[in-house]
Order: sequence, then C-alpha cells, then structure tokens
Amino acid sequence: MRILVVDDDVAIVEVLSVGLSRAGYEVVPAYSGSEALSCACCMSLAGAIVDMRLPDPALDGVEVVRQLRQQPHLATVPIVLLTAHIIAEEDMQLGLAAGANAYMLKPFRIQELREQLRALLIASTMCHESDHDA
Amino acid sequence: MIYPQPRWKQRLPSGIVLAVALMGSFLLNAFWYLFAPPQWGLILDPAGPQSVQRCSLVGACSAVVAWHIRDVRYPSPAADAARNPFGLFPGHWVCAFQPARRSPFVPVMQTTHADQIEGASGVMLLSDQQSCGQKAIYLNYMPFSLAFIYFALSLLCAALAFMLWLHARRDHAGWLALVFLLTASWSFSLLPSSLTRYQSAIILAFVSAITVTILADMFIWLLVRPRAQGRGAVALMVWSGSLLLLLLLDLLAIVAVIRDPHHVYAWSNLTSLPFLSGSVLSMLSALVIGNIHPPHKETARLLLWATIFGIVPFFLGYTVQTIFPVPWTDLLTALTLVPCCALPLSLAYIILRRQILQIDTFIHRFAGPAFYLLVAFGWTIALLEIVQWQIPALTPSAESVVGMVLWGSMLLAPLMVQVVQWVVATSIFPQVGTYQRILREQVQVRMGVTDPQVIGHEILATLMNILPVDTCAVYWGGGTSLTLLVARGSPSTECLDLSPEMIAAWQVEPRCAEHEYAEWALVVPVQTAERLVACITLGPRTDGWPYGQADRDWLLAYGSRFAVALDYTQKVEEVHAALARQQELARFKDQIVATIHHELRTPLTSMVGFADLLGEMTPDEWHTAPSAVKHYAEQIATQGHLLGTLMRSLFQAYEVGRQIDVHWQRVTPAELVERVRAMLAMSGHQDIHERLQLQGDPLLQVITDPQMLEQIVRNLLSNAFKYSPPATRVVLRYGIEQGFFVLSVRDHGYGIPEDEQQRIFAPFVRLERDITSGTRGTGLGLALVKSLAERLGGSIVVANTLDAGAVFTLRLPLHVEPA
Repeated sequence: MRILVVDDDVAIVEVLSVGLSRAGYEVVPAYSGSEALSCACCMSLAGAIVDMRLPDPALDGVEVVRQLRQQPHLATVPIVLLTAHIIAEEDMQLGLAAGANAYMLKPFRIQELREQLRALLIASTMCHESDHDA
Repeated sequence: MIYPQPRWKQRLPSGIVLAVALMGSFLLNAFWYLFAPPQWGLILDPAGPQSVQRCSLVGACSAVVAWHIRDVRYPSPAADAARNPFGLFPGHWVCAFQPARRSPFVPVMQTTHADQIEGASGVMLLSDQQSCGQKAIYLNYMPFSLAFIYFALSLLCAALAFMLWLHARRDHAGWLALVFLLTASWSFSLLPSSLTRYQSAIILAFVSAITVTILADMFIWLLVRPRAQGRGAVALMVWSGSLLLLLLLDLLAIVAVIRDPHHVYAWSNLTSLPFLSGSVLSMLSALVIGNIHPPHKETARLLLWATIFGIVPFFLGYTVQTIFPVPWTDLLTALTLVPCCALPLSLAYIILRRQILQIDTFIHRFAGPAFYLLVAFGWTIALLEIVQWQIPALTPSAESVVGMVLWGSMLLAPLMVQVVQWVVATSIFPQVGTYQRILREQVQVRMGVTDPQVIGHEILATLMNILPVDTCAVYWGGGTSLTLLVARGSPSTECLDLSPEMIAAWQVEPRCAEHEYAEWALVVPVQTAERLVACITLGPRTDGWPYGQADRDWLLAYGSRFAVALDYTQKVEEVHAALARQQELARFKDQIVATIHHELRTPLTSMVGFADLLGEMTPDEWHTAPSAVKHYAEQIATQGHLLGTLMRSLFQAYEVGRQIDVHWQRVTPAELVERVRAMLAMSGHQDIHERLQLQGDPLLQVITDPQMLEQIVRNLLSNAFKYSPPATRVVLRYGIEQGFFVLSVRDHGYGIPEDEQQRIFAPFVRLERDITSGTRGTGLGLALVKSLAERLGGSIVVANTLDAGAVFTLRLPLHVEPA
C-alpha cells in the first residue's frame, strides 16, 4: 500500500519512510506541497501523511489536503495531518474541514502513527466495502 | 587666530580691503605728521574776505573740516616758538584763546606777537582786523579735551571692531572698521596742535598695531579658505580701485600744496576729496559687493543712503554759502548740520544694532546704545561750539537751551528714524501690512490637530500666497535632523541636518550658494521654549531680491505660532510610535512562545522517531545492518544538537526582545572579530582560519555594546560559512565611512534572490533553497541580527555581489564616549 509522506523536514520524512516501510507500506516522500501534488496526480495512493506547516505559505498542509481531496482517486483515502502546534484547535478544525481524517501532534511515537494509519485504512476499506455492498 | 568657519559662512572678507585702506590712511597720516615740513600745510589765501568767509564755513562743516584743518599744520607755539610761525603769514592778525574761558572760540586778545600766545589753547589767524570776532579763519581751534573725545571714540570703535573680529563676525566687523577709519582720521586731524609729533607717532604706532593684527588675521583667514577667489575677486578689485584712487587723490593734493603754498586753497578742497571719494567709493563698492553677495545687499543699500543723506545736504549748504555769502546762511548751514549728522548716525546705529550687535552677549547688547550715546554726545558738543561761534552774542542760558535741544534731537533721532521706517513700511511697502494682518487674523494656535500635514499645508498655502517664491517646504522632526513634511515646488532635499549655529545664522542671513542646501534661501526655525520643532524653508524670491529683515522677522513670528501645535502633533506621533513598539514587542514575544512549541517539536519528533526505529530493531538486525544503527544514532545526536542550537537562538531572540538597555562601551572590533573567529572554529567551522579574510584597522575603536556586536558578527559569519560552498573565501571588512561604523561580511556563495532580500530578516523565514537542500537552520539568526542592529541605532542590509555571493552590510552610528 502506497503512502504519501509530505514534510519539509528531511529527518522526519526519513523516520516516517523507514518506520512505515517496516510496517509494509510503500512510502512516497515529498518535501513540499507542490511536490506532493505532482506525485499524487500520477499515482494511486492508499493514504497520505501531511505536515501542517510547509515552506510555501500559499500551499500549506491544509491546502495540500484540500487539493488532494479534489482529485477523484483520492477523495476517500485516509489523510493524517501532522502538527507541532500545541494550541492549534482552529488549525485542526480547518484541516479536518479540508478533508483530513485525523491529526497527530508532534512529537509522536512511530507506533502510534502506524496504529492510527492502520485504523483509518481499515475504516476506509470498510467504508468502501459497505459502499460496494450497497 | 584662525577660526574654523562653516562653508556657507565663508564669503568675501570685505574687511580685508577695509583694513588695507585703514593701513594706507594711517601710513599716509603718519608720513604727513612725522616728515612733512610745516610749509606744506599752509592753505591760507590772503586774497580777500570772500576766501575768508568760505574758509570759515569749511571750518564749520562736518567731517570735511578735519581735512582742512589737518592741512593747516600749525606747530604748537609753546613747543616750537623759535620758528615763529606767524612770520609765515605776514599781514595777518592772530587771535589767541585762553584755556580758562568756557568757549575756546571767543577771542580774548589780538596779537601778532608770539610771546603772547604762550599757554593759549588755540590761535586764530585773521586776514584783517575788522573781521575779528565775526568771521575768521581759525587754524587749530579744537582744544585738546574735545579732540580727545573723538580720539577716544575712534579707539572705542577700533576696540569694538577688534572684539567683533575675535567673535568671527568678520564681515560685519568690516563695517565697524569703516567707522573706525572715519573717526580715527578725523581725530588725528584734530590732534596735532595739542600733541607733539612723538606722542602722535606713539598713538599711530598703537593703532597701526591693531590694524596690522586685524590685517594679519584676515590674511590668514583668506589663506585657509581657497574658495575666496572667484566671485570675491571682483569685489576685491572694486575695493582696491577705490583705495588706489584715494591714495592718488591724496598724492595729488600733496603735490599741489608743495608746488604752490600760497595759492592752494582750491587744492585744499582736493585734499578733502580723498576722504569723500573714498567713502563714496566704499559705499558704491559695498553696493557692488551687496549685489554679489546677497547677504550684504541690504546693509550696503542702507549705507549708501546714509552717505547720500549725510553728504548731499552738506554740499548743498556749502554751495549756497559759497555763492550767497550772507550771514543768515551761516545759521542755516549750522542747522542743516543737525539732520545731516543725525541721519547717517542714526542709520549707522540701526545698521550696527541689527547687523553687528545681534550676538547676544552682554558687551554686544550694550555696545550699540553706548556707541550711539558717545557719538551723539561728541556731535552735540561740536554743534554747540558751531552755534556759539556763529552767534557770538549767545548768553550762557540760551547756550544751554541750544545744547539741550541739540542733545535731545540727537537722542530722538533713532526714534524718528524708526517712525519714518514704520511709515515707509506701512505706506510704501504694503507687504508689511499684509504681514501684520496675517499675524493678527489668520493664525490661531491649533491645538488638537493631530495631523502635522494639515498644519504644514496651511503654512505653505499662506506663504505661497503672500511671498514671491515658487519653492518652499516644512521640515520637521526631533533634534536637529529634520525630514521633509510638506513641500510646494519640487525640493530635492529630503532631510536637513542643522546644527544650532546653522539655524541661528540662517535666521539672520540668507544662504550662500556654496552650501549643500543651496536651494533654500532662507530657513526659518520653528521652536518652542524647549526645542526646535520644525523649519520653514523658502527658495529664492522670484523677484530677485533677498529676504529683508522684515521678511525674516515676520516669518519667525509666523512660524512660532505653529510651534506648539506642531510640537503637539509630534508628541502624539511619538506616543503612537512607542505604543506600536510595545505592541510589536508583545507580538514578538507571543511569536517566540508559539515558535518554541513548534520549532522544538520538529527535531524532537525526529529524535523520537529514530529512537523508535532503533528500539524496533531486533538484535539480528543490529548485526545485519550496523550502518542503519549508526545512522539512526547519528541522526538522534544531530537532532539533539539542533535542538540545543534552537533553544539557544530562541533564548537569544527572547532576550533581544526583552532587553532594553544598551551597554555602551569602547570596543576594538579587531579583538571582537578574533574572539568570534575562535568561537566559530571551536563549533564546527574548523576551516575558518583559512577561509576568513579580515580587512580593517586593527587599532580602530568604536563605542557600542560589545555583546550585541558580537552576536551580530557571529551570526553573520556563521551564516556566511554555512550557506557558501566549502573552501570559498569569506571577507569581513570594517571601518569608518561617512560618520558610520560599517561592517560587511561577504561570502562567495549563491547570493540571495532579489525578492527574498527583504524577507530574510523576518523571524523564522528561511530560503526555499536551504529548506529543500536540507541545510539546518532556525530562521532566527538574521532576525536577531536586524533586531540588534536596530537596537544599536543602526541598520543591516543585504545585496548580491556582481560575482556569486552576498554581502551583508551593518551600519552603526558613531557614538561619543559616555561621560
């Protein structure tokens, strides 16, 4: 399952890449919003992990999520937002409104992220199945 | 004595030529008194009563008298009885006066015998006995006491001139020196009967010494300012020409007297010509100078008028007397003398008071009135003597009344001139009326107006309406550095840096074209009791005239009406600025706190992540992939280190935001840079010694905050090394440039994109390039540098160099050493 990881911090991308690879995911790293969008449009993805704060102020995490959601093949895939802000309820609301499924507060344990991702993927699959059933 | 003069104040030293004239005059006098044989001075023409009468009038009239009497050099009988000077005038009667009598002009005896005039205070030669007591030629009629008054007067003028010279008001002192020249020549003309040649020589030597001192001073002044040539040369030529003419006429007169001692009365008039022509030419050249140098225009014009007022009526009276020698014209002449003398003296006094005595010290405040009182007193005595002489039957009480009237008219003369000036100003120059009306009606103190532009535009609208100018502006600001507030026309000066001396000087005299703010002809300070608030600047008048005293006085009064209102708006703006600064600080602190959360969590996330990865690895994996283990451990260490750096930067940023006091100290930049270099070498930049190139004076010292400057240099250098390719050179240059301490750090990296050059000084902003390339940084370094530079009163800018690389330039104002 292919997961898009978007973060401007090289180290975090590496941690996530290794950590998710070990859990069996295939990781597509992206270091900016534009890079993420260009990756997303040409490949199928099972999910995405996006950092709230990206270098381009016009294309931050929330915006990336919004644009990902606009692409038909990504309309329902689970998206997890990463944030370092401790008091960012409004940002969170914005992110969720834009289409993110969950958010993780930095710093987080890699296991927590995997759990969260797994749960979301299952939920998403179930959702799809129920759709098919219907 | 050399006084450093501001550039704009340097102009033609008119005093130089004056002093040359002074010297020439005194040398000539000295020669005349010391070496001329007595026969040279004889001017009597025994032809008949007509000449006698003319001569008597000459004796009565004004300063020209001095020259005639001087020419009749009559040795003191007591000192030189052996010569029997009366032998030189065969057929003449001699009157001698007793010193005990109240008037020296009342003859007490008539004699032709030299013995009888021993101890007399004066002698009178008569061409025939009948005219004795009525019309007489008198030779040395001036008693010593009176001569001494004039001599003291001339010395007072000399002292005043010298004092003003010392106060570096040389141009004005030149005018006083002119007065000195006039009175001194006169007094010397009166002296010889009472003084011996040696006494005269001593006094001459004394005065010459003063003159030489002034002269030397002026020449030194001329030497230290090479720009005196040029325009000044024209005026100098005019002065030199008038001086040469003066000397030439003097020489002509001397030659004439030598050639024909018994028929030289006509020539004796010529001897007065140097004096008259000299003064008229002086005035004309003053006018010329006034045209070349607008500051003197007004003064020169007034002096010219004074001369015309003084000389023309005298010559009219003189001519009338000569043509119609009837007795009543004597009295007429005597009476015309009053306005003749009073007018130029009053004008001279007014000019002196305005132009010279504006320096507000004790001596200058009181010198003007004292000077006038002395002059008036001297003239009163002289006129009284003339009246007594013209009306011998005058009783002592009537004499006192006449004296009182004369004295009173002398004292009232300046007042009358003021009244005339006022009448002229209000009726002939309606501008003055407009001025007064505006001050009365239009200007009210506008408290509550918080927009200075409103006030500025109102000032400009009024000024443009009534003054013939096409450029004017209002500058304002705190201290002496003013910025443009509003302007009409298109002024090119954005900022005015004025010293108090410049303001004081500009207030009284218009610009000199050499000055850097040459577009402004007049700068009117607007000040409250405590400080200078603003300046109203005006371009040259479009009608070609300079600004007159009335303009300046009015502008000063007009501007001061707005001082309080402008001060108020300035204070309001200062409060707003302080508030904004406070808000900015608060916002900055909030941002710091928020960023601590955000920025610290990012490396922490990596650390936790890598630690998790390590923890997940089985012992087998540890063996099979030791490089991964090593890499994770290294990553944890790197992130930890970054965390530490971040914390330090954040703390510094917080400190900068918090710290208010700057600790000024004497700092040697070379030492400071060396310290930073050692510090950087220890923290990862081992190649700094090879790469860093220092350019600057190792002994240079500046006053600044060493901690802050060190932070700035460390951040700039650390950036330069971090963001430029390995092994490229970094150049740190520092020095004093145009009154600023300038320190620049230049790298040979990739430069800063134009559109990001402003942004990079904001907190947490990093270049896209560095983010994608993964260079570690907090985005706080340059924000810190900028904040520190501003705290030190300076600025920091960045620019790309022509070849690759960027150069950061720090400019700090030079501070004086704290007391």
